[in-house]
Amino acid sequence: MEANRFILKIHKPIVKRDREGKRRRKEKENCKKRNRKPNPKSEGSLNPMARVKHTPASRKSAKKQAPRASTSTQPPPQSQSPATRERRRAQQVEPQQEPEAQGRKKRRNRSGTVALREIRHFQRSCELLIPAAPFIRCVKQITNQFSTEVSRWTPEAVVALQEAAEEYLVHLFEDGMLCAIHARRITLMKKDIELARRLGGIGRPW
Amino acid sequence: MAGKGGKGLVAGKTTAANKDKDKDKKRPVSRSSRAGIQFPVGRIHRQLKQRVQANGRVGATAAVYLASILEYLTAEVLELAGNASKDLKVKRITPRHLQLAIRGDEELDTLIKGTIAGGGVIPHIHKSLINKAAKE
Repeated sequence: MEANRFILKIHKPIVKRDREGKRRRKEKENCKKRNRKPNPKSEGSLNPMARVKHTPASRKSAKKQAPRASTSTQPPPQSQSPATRERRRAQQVEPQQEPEAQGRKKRRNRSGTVALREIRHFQRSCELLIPAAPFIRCVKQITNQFSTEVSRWTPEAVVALQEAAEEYLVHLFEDGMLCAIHARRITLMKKDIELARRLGGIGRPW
Repeated sequence: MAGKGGKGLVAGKTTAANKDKDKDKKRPVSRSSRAGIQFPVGRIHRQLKQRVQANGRVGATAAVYLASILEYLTAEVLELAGNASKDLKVKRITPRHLQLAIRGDEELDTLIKGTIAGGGVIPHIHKSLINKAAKE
């Protein structure tokens, strides 16, 4: 007898759930036949994770209804069956676990924010920005074009040349940027660099 | 014994004579200390004579004048660079501090037009760039 009671205790809530499920399915089918929307209360109870489209009106209503929701989170009275309690617990736990499962979206900066951050970073620093090895290869290549006799450079000479080259380029880009801003643009173009070089007055045959 | 005494007398006479000469001779005083400056007047005078065209003839006060000018400019730059390093809470002046000091001062900026190795640039972003980025 005890075993039978135990079995009955286990299976009773399952039977109840099945009955409720059948009832909801019937309601849905009837609604489809009549081309009506199903009752939101019944649908909400059917699928607690159903996605709601947030329009401005619905958001306002949600804000207004927020205090009521806090009252509903109170523990249910003892008269409810254990099956309904379990169901409610599941409803409360699932939304908390959902964001962890999905994973947060990667945070993206707006266009131009990172550019300004990089400007600040590189204006604060004062080290050489062109990699040394490619610059040395470039220097040796140009040296070879002009004379085959001179082919060796001291490290100090290369560093001095790189300092001068970078400083010249920085000033050229500064002037080019001013030309772009003068033309009511914030995009640096080829014509801005050409104008900056022309007005700079250094290196006439360009 | 007498010989020894004689030698002693001679020695005594010579020492007395040397003392008189020392009194006449003054201890050498550098021209920098006379002028009340730190930069070397004598060295500048020598280098001027090496580089000048007129048979190496340079006036005595020219070197003092030039030394004091150089000292003033050096002091000015170093003071500003020291302030820059203090602002950054560092106890050592670097090329970056010199660059900030020189470009921050209008007159020094016009005077020193050359490149300072390892100096970087003055932080400056045009207003139009900041506004555009904020709008977007």
